[in-house]
Amino acid sequence: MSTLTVTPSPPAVHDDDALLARIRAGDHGALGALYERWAPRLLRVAWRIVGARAEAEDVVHDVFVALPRAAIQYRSTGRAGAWLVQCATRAALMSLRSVRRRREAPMPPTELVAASHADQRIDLLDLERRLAALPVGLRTVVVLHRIEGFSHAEIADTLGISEGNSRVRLTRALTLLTTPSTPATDDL
Amino acid sequence: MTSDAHLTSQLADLAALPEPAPSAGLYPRIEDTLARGGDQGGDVLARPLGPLVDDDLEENGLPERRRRRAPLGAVALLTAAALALWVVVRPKPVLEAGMISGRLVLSPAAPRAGEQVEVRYSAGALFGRPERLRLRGRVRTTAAESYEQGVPVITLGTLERVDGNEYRGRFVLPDSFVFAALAVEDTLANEVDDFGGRAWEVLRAGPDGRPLLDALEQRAHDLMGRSWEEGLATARRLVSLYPDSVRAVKWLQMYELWMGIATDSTRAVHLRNARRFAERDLRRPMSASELGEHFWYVRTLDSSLALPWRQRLLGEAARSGLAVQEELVDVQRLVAAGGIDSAAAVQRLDALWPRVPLERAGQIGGAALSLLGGRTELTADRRRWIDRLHAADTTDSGRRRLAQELIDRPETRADAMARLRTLLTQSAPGTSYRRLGESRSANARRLSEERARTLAVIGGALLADGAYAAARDTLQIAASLTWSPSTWRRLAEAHLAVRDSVGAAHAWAHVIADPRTTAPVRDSLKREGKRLLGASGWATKESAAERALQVHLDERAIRRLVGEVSLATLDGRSAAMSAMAQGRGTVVVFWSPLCGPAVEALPEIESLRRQLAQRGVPLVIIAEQSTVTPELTKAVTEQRIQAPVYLDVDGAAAARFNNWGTPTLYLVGTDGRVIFPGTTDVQSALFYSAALLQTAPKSGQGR
Repeated sequence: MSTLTVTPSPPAVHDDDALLARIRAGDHGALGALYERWAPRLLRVAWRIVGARAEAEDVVHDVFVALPRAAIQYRSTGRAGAWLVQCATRAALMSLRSVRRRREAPMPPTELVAASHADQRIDLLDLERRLAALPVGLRTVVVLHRIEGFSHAEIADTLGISEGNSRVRLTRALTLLTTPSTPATDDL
Repeated sequence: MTSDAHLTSQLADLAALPEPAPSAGLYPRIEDTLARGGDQGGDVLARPLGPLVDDDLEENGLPERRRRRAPLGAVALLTAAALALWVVVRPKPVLEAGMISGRLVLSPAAPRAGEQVEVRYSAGALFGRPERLRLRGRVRTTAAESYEQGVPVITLGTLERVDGNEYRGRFVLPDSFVFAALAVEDTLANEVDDFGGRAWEVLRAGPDGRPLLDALEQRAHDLMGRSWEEGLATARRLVSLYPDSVRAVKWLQMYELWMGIATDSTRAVHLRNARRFAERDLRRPMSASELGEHFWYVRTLDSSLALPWRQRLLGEAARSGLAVQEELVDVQRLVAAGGIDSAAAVQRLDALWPRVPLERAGQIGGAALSLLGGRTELTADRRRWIDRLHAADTTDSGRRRLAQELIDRPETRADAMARLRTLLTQSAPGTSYRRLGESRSANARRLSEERARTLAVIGGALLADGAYAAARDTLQIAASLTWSPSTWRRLAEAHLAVRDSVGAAHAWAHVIADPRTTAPVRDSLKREGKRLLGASGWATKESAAERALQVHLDERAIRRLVGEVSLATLDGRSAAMSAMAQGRGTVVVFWSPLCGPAVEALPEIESLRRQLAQRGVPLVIIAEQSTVTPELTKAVTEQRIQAPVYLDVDGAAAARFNNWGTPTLYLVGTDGRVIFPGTTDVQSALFYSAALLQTAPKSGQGR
């Protein structure tokens, strides 16, 4: 019986597709390599959507646990990272949906801003707070478009809405973000 | 004001910040889940079969996009095919966390009379994408009583599949109904989605679009015994929408009393209301039920305020339920104070009986039987009240209880058996109504268990009458319909009476297999069995009984994956549920210090913990709240709870378990699967945990 030997050398960007192919074939070592590369980014996206680190980590957990099966659905496009962010976004929104009846207002992810330059930290904290106060349908579009660099077409695909709707959401969200009366959800 | 350019630049700054490092334990947790075979959740990553953020679309007044794009068809097909394959090849039903209930959206959720309700349903993994599903409702008129007994369940309409797991339908709630609790099922009723027991709801609205007082009141009736927290929330909503209604404030007053949250300040609020109502309504003509509401609202608040209401109620509406109840309380108060003896009390109830409305018959009759004492002697009084109750109580359980009152005495045994046989024909499968949330098989199982209980009583009566062969046959059928050690014991007696020692030993082996049988009984039956059959014959019977228990358990097992659940300890540390299992599984109790029944159940839960500890199974309590509150601390310290208590931060655990209501007990296996549906019955939790451990493969045998 042959034993599958895994040598997780740091893969190049274009190797993500290959890693997904190996995961599809049942190679958990490849999962580790993909995790190393993408877990921080997925955590960042999920954190901003669900509003709590613990829940965001649950989302990342759920994504990687589901990958061996979900990878079957991935068509090799060279954009595995974007696909993973899409998956994490969906998982985060599903997670919010399942706990919505009990959920309190999301907390701004203040830890994310801690690494910023001291001069800009207060401003960025305030922005995170206003972002967290947005309805999730708007917040998600801002996060994906302005922070994660997704196109409206990709956002539409991720959220199951039209491109036009994604644009409308973004405009509305940006308007709310620049309106001083946006209610705060919590003190920092 | 922040300028657009400034905002854009700030967002770019956010994007440039370093990505956060995941916790060190996250990847080991992923590996652990995968190692336990938990890679079942691929669907969570699939492209959405509908908008994932549509709630917020409505919230923001934006246009909603409902049509799915073409490429998604392939994914839907793949998902459906994978699901179908999985359904075919799975060894036994396995449902995964978070996939059980679908999502049902009603528009409008509070329809006016005659208004059509549009239904959108995104199915969970329960149904396997059939072309159509059925929408059923437990529908309530303004006259419906608490609990589900006697409340009709009707088919409201059909949901047609439009795409993937998306279904659409519409219905009009008949005008006589003010509230409906809804569930979705496949057309054969093999699977039912009732939203984990919560059911979706329709409340009739008035012309102004607000839910009617009657609708909210019926919701409170419907929630009775299902969720105290939701009941309290309904009562609060009633008061906020209808602050001038005595019915509304009375609901709130009752929930405050039931849940032990009445305080001096809540009492003061009610007293102010009562004074206001007296000034407004005391001299106004009103219906019997309104008089009753006013009197019972003020009754415990202030006796001088209550007196004029009492006089009006007993004078103007003496035949009403609340007036009759007040007269019963008077009689009981007199007996308790030694003013009259029980015979005189029964005479008073005899005099009251002609005025007792049907809905109070059980209450008054039950009180009379209780005053007449135990059933060692069947007096004429006792017989008269039993007959009265039999005429008034048409429920199976009520009639079975009454027949049992008669069955112990030789002269009435035949009468009792005749009554029970009527029950058997009335409870035949297919003729009894199926509850909301009950699948066809669950309905058949419930009815069959009811039949088994009735047959067991008849079998016992036949045994007492000396009709041994008939008793044996009857008890044999009863034993085959459910798992009941008391029935097996009676069956053993019947076998011995007809000199069938092999049959008796067979029955004893089943008594022994039940984990609730005490050690001395077990030892003596085992000795007797070996004496009758010899060691090897007895061993065969024992293993057959173990297998029968295993079959019984398997039929009821769900084995639904919960996966890892993160909790918090009372001192703020995080805890993983997997770490609590000590090799054999864990009993998890969802609990709330704000729920009366949950607090009352604490001593029983603590006793269960001790019994389970002897079998090596830990019990943990999950308080349905994110922070430690004084109520929680008080309950845990006062009841000297030794079971570990955890906080369910943000309701994550309840969401994973699909739990609704407290106290609810689950048995979770070491593989992170809930093995049986949640139960509120502590004894049943003990039986299932113990039986499961007993029938689990021994170590070294593998699985």
